[in-house]
Amino acid sequence: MKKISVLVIDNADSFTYNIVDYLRKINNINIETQESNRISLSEVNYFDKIIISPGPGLPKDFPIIYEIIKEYHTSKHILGICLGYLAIGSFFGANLINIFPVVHGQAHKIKVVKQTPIFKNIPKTLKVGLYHSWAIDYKNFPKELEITAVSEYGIIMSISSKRFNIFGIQFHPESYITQYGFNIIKNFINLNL
Amino acid sequence: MVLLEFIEKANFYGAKHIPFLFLVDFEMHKLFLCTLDRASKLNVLYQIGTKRNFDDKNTSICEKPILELYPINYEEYLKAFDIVMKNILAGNTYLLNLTFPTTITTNCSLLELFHIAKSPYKLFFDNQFILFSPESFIKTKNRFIFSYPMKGTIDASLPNAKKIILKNKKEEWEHNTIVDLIRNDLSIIAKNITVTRFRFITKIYTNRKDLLQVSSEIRGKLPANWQNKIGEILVNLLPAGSISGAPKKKTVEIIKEAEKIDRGYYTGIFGIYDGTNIDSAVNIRFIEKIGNHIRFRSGGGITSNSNPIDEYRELKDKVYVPII
Repeated sequence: MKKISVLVIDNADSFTYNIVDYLRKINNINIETQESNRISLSEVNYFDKIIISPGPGLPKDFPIIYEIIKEYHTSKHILGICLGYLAIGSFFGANLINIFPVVHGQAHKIKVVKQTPIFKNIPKTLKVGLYHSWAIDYKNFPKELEITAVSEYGIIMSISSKRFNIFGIQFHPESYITQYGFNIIKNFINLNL
Repeated sequence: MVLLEFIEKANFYGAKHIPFLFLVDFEMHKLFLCTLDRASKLNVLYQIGTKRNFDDKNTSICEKPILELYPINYEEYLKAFDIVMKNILAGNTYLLNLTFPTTITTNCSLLELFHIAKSPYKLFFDNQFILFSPESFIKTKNRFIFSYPMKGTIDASLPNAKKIILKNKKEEWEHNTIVDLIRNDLSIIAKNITVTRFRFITKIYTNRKDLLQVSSEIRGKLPANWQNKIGEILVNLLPAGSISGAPKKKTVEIIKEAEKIDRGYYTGIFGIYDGTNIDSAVNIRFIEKIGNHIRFRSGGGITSNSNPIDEYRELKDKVYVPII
């Protein structure tokens, strides 16, 4: 069996290696981690799956991730986490809103509202770890995307593309306080190419 | 010495199983490393758990330490706090450890304070600074690496202190953040990261009041022959998560903007490699000599739920000498 190659794009984050340590538990994959400010658009092509890490600030502070989504969203599997999720949403035209109060280090309950491959064999409600001060707005939500989970406070928690294998999650699957976080990452990796 | 020289030396001694002592500053500009047997010749006294290179006999003439505190004024503290909070709300940082020096006067000398202080980790560095840290940085044992981030402090004399601190949501969220950060850091240099103990309590006795501290234990598996790479292992974990914050890179930039002065060896790390394993501390509870006066450096973690009055109090509360 051919090994699946996974690129983890690190947006100057301090949770990226939690994702990597989860990936290491999955058999038959190659994992490469690269800092987003050092990556070239063309080398992304060597990989089957792309994970865009969380990070500080807003996706516009890391312009390369928009270029990567633009270039590869029709051909590769992409999972965006937190900042990566906001990047996917705003790439397709979603508005980003600054929330108050901000939510850092908290576990909230979320509900899966539409079945999607990354939530395969996972309960409909689960507790997830959150670090966010920005969210995707319901207003002008892009037609290309669909909402797949929502938090107990009504905030959009995950999205996917209707046509492509692109998934975004607001919460942190790699967090200690997230239930089934490893399963979510594994589901993304196991999704047939 | 500079960073590269430090890494090379640590790797060299590590591979040859030669015990050494190391000390790294927060900015990683002035790193120090010497073989363990040379430490006392260089006027460096250390205690790490039960290992130490000095004794207290005939040294302590200063029985009751009295500290007079001259902390930063509140207005100045607030300015820095506001810089941090603005960045938290913008999503640039989730947790940031904000620190300031407090000038102190005392009836004891640095060396006397060093001998009086009771703590698992102590360092006297050539009469430039002393520290008596309760916080472990990393330990290794049987190819496992352990880290013990400490976040959450409460006055032990309060009724139900233990229950209050464990039930406090703000403390819990802050602790979650540090646990995720340290898991990440260990994942850089080790595998199979596990939280082996979550939010356990330890007690600290001080010259002022007794404190309860909340810690967790996080464990990872090191590669075979990790001693050959001790230098990289240490440096990749720095600055320590508990005294910087998350996400680390951006948070360190904000710290520089808010604190304005270098931290130096304060909030760096020190430790020993005994030829087989490492035990080390985060350089907190730190007193340094600056010209004719001495100052105590302290701080605390700022999150979106922090309020400046409490944080300012905590900064002053942490200026103490542990005596029992």
